[in-house]
Amino acid sequence: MSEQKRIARELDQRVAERTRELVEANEALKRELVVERQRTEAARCASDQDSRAIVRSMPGMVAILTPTGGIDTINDELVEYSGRTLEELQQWGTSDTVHPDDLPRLTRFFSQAIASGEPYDVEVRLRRFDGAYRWFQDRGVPRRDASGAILRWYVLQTDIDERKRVEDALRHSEASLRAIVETTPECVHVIARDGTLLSVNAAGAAMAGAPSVDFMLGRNFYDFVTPDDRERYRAFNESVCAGQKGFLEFHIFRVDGECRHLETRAAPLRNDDGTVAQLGIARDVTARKRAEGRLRESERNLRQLTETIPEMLWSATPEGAIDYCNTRLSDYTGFDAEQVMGDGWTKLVHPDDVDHAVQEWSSCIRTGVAYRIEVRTFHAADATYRWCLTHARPLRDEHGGIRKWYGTVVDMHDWRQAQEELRQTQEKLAHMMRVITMGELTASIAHEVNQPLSGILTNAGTCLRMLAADPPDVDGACETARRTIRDANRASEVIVRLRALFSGKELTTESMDLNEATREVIALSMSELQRHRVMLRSELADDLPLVTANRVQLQQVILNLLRNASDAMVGVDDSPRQLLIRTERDEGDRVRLTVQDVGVGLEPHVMEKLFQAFFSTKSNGMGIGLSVSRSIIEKHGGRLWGEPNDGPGATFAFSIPRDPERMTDAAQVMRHS
Amino acid sequence: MVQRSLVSVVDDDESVRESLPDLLRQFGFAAQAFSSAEAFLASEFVTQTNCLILDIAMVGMSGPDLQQELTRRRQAIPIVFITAHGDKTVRPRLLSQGAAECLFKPFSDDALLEALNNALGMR
Repeated sequence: MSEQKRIARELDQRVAERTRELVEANEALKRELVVERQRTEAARCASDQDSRAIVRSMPGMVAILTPTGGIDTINDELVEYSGRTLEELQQWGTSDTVHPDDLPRLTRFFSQAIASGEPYDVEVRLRRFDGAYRWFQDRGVPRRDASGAILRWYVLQTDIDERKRVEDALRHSEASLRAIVETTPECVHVIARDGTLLSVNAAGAAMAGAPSVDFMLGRNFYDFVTPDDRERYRAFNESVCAGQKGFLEFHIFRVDGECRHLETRAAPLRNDDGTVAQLGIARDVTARKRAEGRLRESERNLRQLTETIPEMLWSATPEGAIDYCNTRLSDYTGFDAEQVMGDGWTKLVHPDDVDHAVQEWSSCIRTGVAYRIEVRTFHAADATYRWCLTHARPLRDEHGGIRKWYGTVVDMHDWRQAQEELRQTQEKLAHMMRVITMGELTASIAHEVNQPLSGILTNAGTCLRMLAADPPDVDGACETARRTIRDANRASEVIVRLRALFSGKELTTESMDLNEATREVIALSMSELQRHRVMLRSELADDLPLVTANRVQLQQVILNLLRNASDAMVGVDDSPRQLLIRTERDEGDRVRLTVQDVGVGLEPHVMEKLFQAFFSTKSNGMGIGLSVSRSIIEKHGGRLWGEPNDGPGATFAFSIPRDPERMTDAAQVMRHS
Repeated sequence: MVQRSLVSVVDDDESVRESLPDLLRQFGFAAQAFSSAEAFLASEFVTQTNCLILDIAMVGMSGPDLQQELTRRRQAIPIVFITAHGDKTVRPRLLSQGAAECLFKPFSDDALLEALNNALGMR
């Protein structure tokens, strides 16, 4: 028992000792702890003091909150920005410090963070002192003690307004870009280096005949390219992906198998992962190409035509510079097209004609009037200048502006020579006709002269007899002598007319009275007309103006018309052989002379040959009268024509301008030639 | 006083109509002038005319036409034709058809007087 007691005593003792040790240790520890706590507290206080100081001087808006979210400290920057005091800011949940649109969101995030102790990060607009709101990133981070309890919230507000604006703008521009890409009628696509279609717009899918964009994505674009163009396209795509911009025309087979002609403009597109793809804009030019093809074909046909046609052709710009001449023109002149271009054409023209031609051409360019000129043009084959008619007309657009001049050159040399020969022949014929006419007229001229001569002889005989009578009849003698003188004058006039008609020298124009000339012709031919029992009626206009013409030539024409009319009525026996000669004013300041008969008339097949030389319906006619007559009238700038009457017979007439200055060009050419 | 023979002149040329009657009167004839065959036929002198001086070519009825007409009317008047046309073939033809003479203008007063005397002598 004692052992037990001893053991118990020893144990109690030991426990007591131990307890005392423990208490001591505990006391020491307590002391230590207090010291430690005091030290820590001091450190913590110092640290808090430091934090506040740092926060206040930080270049950024910072706030320190209590674990329940109340604002404890704010820095100067925040005061400065908001223009509000700590107390005012503490009311943020009910004031306009936060943008009204953002306040509910911030409140939600904030409450959650405080409740859960998790950090928060939210973007809100905060009011500036002047009332403007700017975007801030508002981040709150809790600080905990060793036990994990939240000591403080640190809140940092970073101004992200610039960034937000840029982002907004970017978002907006991206949206626009996307809208553009999606609505553009052209295919916009991104193709990887290996041909994989990474992106394509709706138009691109439609262009390929695909039902949707998704149908296309991921496919290899090379498969769409026709086999003929595939290698070219591959090289092109790889070149673009290697950094080169490019342009390519190629063909694809659509999903439905139809072949289309595309053209692509492409640029390298650098992806985020560093790879490069082809950003391309493709356009379907099938229709345009077909139109171009047709145009080329039509141009080719036209060119073939202009090169094949046996005429010399050229064209010029609205400014008058030659821009085309066909091979035939080059062959004729011996000048290449290049040498003729611009104003090189002047080299083709005879030096004496150049000034005139340039002047005319310039005038036509200015006024738009058709160009028409006869100039001597160089002819390579025999190295001479030949007369050519150059003619051009302007092609106008729908507004009347000149787009182009098209012209021809026609060699008139032979024609002109023929004309000259014809003119000379006609001159000879005209002279011949005068002689023949006069030969035939000799009888009537003799009549004309014999009539007054007869009067002279009779009167002279009477006169002598009167003087020889006893007593002499002096008064009667004087009367007959006067008649003698008058008849002699009549004879003299006939001689004067005769001399004019027979004159072969160059005949000049004079101001003359067509009526008077007509009366003289009537007088000259009256006896012959009477012989043919022709009843002549003349209606000569009283108010007929003078004409400037060659009197004798006109009389020749009138005489010819009268004789033809008379001849045409030879066979008329059952009715009067009526012949009407009339003069009158004609429109356009002209005078007209008409001869109308009741003879055989004009058959239609005769009409066309009427004015040809050596054509005659008369058994004894030479067929030069009307031909020569017409050339005479045309020389006077006039016109001579014949037509059948409604009744029997025919009517011939000529009309000549009163004033030779107003003669037509054609007549002037003939006159000067 | 012996009735003087009447010589009628038919010619459309005025100078002939003016000059010939004076000469005829100098010859001692009575004279009348007409400008056309129609005017002569219409006059009262057809039956009184002893000799006719007649132009061949005239407007309307010609000299030979008048000659035929007179023959038809049985008016046998001797006719001296005058003409300004130098066609010599016309004379024998006219003479063979009964003309007293055919003179070509211009003719002399003596030639005319001789022709008239011959013509009046024929009657």
